[in-house]
Amino acid sequence: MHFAKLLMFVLLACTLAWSESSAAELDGVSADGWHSWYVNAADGQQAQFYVLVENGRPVRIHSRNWNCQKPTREAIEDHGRVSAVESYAWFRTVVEDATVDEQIRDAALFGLVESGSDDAFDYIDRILSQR
Amino acid sequence: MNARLLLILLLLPVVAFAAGHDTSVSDRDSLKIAALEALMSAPPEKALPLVDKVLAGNHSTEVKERALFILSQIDSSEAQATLLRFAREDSSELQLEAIRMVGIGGDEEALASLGDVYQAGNRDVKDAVLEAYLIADDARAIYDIAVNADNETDFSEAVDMLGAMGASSELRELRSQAGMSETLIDAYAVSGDSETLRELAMDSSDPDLQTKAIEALGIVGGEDVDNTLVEIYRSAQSDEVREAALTGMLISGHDSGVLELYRGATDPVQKRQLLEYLVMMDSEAIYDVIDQALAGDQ
Repeated sequence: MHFAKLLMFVLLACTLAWSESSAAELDGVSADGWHSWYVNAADGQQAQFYVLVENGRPVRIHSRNWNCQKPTREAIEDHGRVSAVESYAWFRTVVEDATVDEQIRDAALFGLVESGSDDAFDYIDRILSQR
Repeated sequence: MNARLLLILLLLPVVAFAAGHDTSVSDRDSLKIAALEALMSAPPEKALPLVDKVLAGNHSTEVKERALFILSQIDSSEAQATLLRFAREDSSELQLEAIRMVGIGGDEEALASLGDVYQAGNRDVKDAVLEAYLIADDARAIYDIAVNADNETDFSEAVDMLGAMGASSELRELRSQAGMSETLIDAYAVSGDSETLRELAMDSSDPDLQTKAIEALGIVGGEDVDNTLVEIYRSAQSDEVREAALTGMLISGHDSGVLELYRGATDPVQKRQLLEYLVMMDSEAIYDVIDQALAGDQ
């Protein structure tokens, strides 16, 4: 009984630790400068994203899938592989931030879809279902 | 307080809300359109159900038209089938847009299916099909429409489109299949086919078409055509052919050719006509002619 309880706590702690780490994956993207990360989509494709942040807001969003080359020769902070859910969540924040330029928010929608999580398609469905 | 004024004051927030509501509808459509466009980067099996849902739902025409565009960009037979369904539905306000989107998508099978849509359609539908073939650069499909046309309008609209596409080989083929016509001559001119026009300009079997072809050479223009027009004038056996050559030079702006002919002319009637054309062309050469006349050269 004690062992089962202990196991549950360990599992819960692991889950919390994982989700915290996952949520923190793109926290640094608010810092000014270029950022990059990639997502492994379910279909085996890889989506690579580049984002330029100025004054705490994204001002350029590129995907390696749309633009074949790196968009800059400046230093890029590489966030490595990021979960599809986390990448979707970051793009969704941009889409919903009314202070961000509309073109960037539209580009964020592309990034959101390319992140490939099921949440992304549910989100698009909700936008399209608005009355 | 005046009751009417009170009513207006009470209604103001409602009107303001309504105005704001209209704006938000437009913003909402913009967001929907952006979301639809984003689906272009999604796998077809993910994007298609969402696009289908929009087309089946209660959305503005603008949103639905964008959904059709997204369909045209999805590489799947289901997407093409849906596009064709809308292209065939003559009661749908989206029919013409769907037809054009088949052209933008460029799917060969879907493009071939537009032939039936053309046959069953009214003039607007037929024009949209021609436009779709133009967008897809499918001159062969337009040739088929022209060669099978059972009325002058269908034939001339198709031939005009071939001319705009510069589809010289199809237009030449039509000459043997459908016979010569003024519509074809116009299309040769628009497509820049001076070779065929030169051939027709030398053929005196149908004087009307011959003069039309000579004039059309002027639309093509260029040094070779200019020299041909001068030669046609010199060797002309009739006033009509001579005047057509002059009109061709007027259209191509070949005033030096007209001046050359003026200087070489001995017939006073022809000389006068050539002078009139130089005036019509607003040619600088007219001053040379006047100077020479004053000096007693000519």
